[in-house]
Amino acid sequence: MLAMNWILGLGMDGAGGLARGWYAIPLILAISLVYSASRHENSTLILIRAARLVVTIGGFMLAVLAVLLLLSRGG
Amino acid sequence: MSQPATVTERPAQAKVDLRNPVLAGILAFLVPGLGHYYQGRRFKAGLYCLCILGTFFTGLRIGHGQVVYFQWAPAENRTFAYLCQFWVGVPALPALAQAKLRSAQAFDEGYLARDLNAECEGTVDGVPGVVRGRLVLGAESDRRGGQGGGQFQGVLIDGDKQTPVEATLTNCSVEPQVGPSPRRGVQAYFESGTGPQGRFQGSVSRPLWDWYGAPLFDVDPSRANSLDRAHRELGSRFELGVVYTMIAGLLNVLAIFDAIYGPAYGDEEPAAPAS
Repeated sequence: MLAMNWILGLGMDGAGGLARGWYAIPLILAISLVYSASRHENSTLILIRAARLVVTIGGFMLAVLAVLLLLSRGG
Repeated sequence: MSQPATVTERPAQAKVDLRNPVLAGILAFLVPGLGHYYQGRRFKAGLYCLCILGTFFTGLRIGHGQVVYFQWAPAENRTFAYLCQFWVGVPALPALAQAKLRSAQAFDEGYLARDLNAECEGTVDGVPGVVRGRLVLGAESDRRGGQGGGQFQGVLIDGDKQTPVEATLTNCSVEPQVGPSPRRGVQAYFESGTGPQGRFQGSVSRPLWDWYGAPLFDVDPSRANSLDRAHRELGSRFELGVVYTMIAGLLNVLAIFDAIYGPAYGDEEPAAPAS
């Protein structure tokens, strides 16, 4: 349970709330937009690629979270 | 006999007018997006400016303005994060100036380069309410260890009640001239005059130049233990702010390359390597 709290950003005592996890969202958005802008010139293409990258990064992070949660079961 | 082409051409790059790429790169380093604005790439200029500066200042806000600083010696206080933060340009450069251009005395506890005459706010031990007024401390060679005196004139505000305060201060101590907080702590004893008497703890305003990008110290016994205090006050927000500002700097490296060389793929898909 403690490990699960830590992974979710709740802190070891579980009192921190989920708020810390939200800090990842603006970072993912900024990274996706800037990375896509450095690859393409067309603004529409930049936005489409950035949206795709947001989904990719978000999906990857959720997959890692799921694996860590599985590993922490019974911990 | 001509050789078959083995290098993938990038026709889209030719469409982008990079004007003077070196100048654009320098401008992109100084202010994220400025190089692209100079090249007439307005959408990218706005996007880089918003994303990179937004990330940087969000990180700075999360870390209460204390997470961007340069410190190289002693080795225990060394910050590698600044190697990434540096690439944000102008917003991160004051940290370098603070570490390199300031005299050592500016970081000394109790040192006053000139008379301190400023609005002050604080509390007196055992007295309800807040004391506000003008604090005058004379520049003396050494205030370390709570030496020196001063004057205070103001009011004690307790709810709706205001009582005039005029006191002579003894055993005054002040935080260093340069520190990571916008407020500079002052401690003294109100010993004589009108109003409350006892130990006073307050603060005066610190000019932006004296706190923005100020280095934090931890292990140097002759300095205020500001790094330790920042970690205690901010907890994990300190690391979060460092990560935000580091990522902002790294993102601007991509933007600088884009200003100098143009987009990596142009408007095309990344081409598969020629077989």
